[in-house]
Amino acid sequence: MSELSAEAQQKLLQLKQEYLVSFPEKVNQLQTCWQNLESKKFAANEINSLGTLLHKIAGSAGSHEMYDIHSAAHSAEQICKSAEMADMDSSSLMADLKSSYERLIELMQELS
Amino acid sequence: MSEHIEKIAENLYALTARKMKPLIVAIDDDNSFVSHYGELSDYKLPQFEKGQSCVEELPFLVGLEDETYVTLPIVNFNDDNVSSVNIIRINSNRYVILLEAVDEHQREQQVTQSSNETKLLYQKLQQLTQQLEIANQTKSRFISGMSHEFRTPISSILGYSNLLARNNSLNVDEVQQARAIERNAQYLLSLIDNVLEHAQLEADKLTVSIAPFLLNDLIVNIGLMFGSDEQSDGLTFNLETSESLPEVIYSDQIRLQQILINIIGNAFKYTEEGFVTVNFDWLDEELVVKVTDSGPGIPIEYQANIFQAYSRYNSGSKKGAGLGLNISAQLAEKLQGKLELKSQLGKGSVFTLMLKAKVGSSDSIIKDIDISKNQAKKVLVVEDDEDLVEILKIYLDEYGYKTIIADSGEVALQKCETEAIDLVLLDMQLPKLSGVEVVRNLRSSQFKTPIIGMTASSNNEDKVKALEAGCDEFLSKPIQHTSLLSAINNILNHHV
Repeated sequence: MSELSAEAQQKLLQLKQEYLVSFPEKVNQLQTCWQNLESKKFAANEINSLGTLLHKIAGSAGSHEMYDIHSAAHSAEQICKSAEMADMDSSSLMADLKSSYERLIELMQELS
Repeated sequence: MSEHIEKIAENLYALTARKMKPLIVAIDDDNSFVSHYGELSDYKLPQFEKGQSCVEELPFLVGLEDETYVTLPIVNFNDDNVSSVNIIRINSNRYVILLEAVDEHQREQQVTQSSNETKLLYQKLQQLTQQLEIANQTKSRFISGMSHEFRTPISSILGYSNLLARNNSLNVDEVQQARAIERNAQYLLSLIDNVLEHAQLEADKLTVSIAPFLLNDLIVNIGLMFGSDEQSDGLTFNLETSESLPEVIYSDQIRLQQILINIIGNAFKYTEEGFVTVNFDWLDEELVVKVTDSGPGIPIEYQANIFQAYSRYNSGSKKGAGLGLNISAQLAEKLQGKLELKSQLGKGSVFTLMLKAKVGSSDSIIKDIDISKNQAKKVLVVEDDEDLVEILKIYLDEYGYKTIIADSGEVALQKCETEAIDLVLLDMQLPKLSGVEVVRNLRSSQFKTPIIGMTASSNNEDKVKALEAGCDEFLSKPIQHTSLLSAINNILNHHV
């Protein structure tokens, strides 16, 4: 129960490699989302789109045991949620979001 | 005799008259003065001329209903006169009877003041209650938030130390050091879980799920967990079972196992040499589990508080937050049971768990959780993240489950209607139709298949929401294959 079979581990490894190959595309999606966010002055819809993307990255990266990426994506997702819940575009919140977003992009680009 | 009564009556009248200062003012229909009886000066009233209007001095006459008898309990008039007023109509005249009511007025004021003070105190109490509730919510949010803040870096430490320990280029010492990091990170994670669980119990948000299960499964699990050489660490581990044990009982297998793991784990932790014996028995419709060890024992002065939160004995040499026994005792209570301790310094300890449980029938449960039996079981994975779906599919394939995929809540509802599904694995943070909405929708349409909710949130409120909506179990992301399999097996094993 504690160890997966060699076949399953192999499949997971292959999946992880495919996942890594998808990073440039994911980074592109994140960057497009971020540009939209900035051009529309952090509108609620754009924050929601970014949050959804970050949520997916946090979930999948964690399951691939890529904990740094999981952590950075999750932190940024939490900030998006806070901004949505508070219905605000506080500059400090957005500065935090930008910093988490940039950290995530940096980590993903390192592995691309 | 009657002479005395008359005298007493006269004195009584004089006394009452002095006290109440009765004044009768007769007026006509135009409120003009006719005559009076008593002292006008007692009420600071002038000597009225016949036919003079009394309205200015007796303002309460204005707008008064023209009835035979009118009573005004307390009237404040004409420069702070306080009187009770009775007005009686006889023919064309009305007789205004004034009686001084200063004392009564004062009493009334005191009652009003007291009532106002009570209201103020009540308001204050409400404010304090609200403040406490807010403080409690803040505490829960803080604990939940901190748990996430701790969990993320610890997960990272766990992951990397695990990778490090598997690295072939490390020598034996380095592998041991990496394992030590991993062990301690695991320990920190269990501490956080305990703090969270304690907070849940305090807030009465921890639920138990009573279902029939094979008692032998639990006993075998305990044997596997503590019977290995690595785990027993030189101690003798005895597992004893009574012949009177029923095959199936109704309780919460996961919580029961949690209590036992805690007590047995403690016995191993504190016993340097000798044995740990676990005895399962059935007495008077109660499951009785005794955990006996040959450890150092617990001094009598520590025994009274041993089940209190943050209470620890031997804190100098062994690690822990002092929450394990408190959680176990509270869980035992939730399962209609109790946990007791008998111990003597130098002669070891005996922890006894007594649990009231209904005996069930083996026909009512899925007996075998052998992986080969899962071949036919269909698990619906509701997840919008394709990457995660692929990982879950590998895990489920590995253990023989057939995977059906739905990438949205809407598709999941369709699949549940058209396909025979044994279990639903549901992301609670789906776009559009959320996980909670999907569960509510399914449960309201009598969909009884077990549902396991999954979320990346460590917030306890999300877990409570999922369980309240109708989920049977809850998993935190990132999903580990062992926790996924364990949750699925437990659910399918529990589900009647």
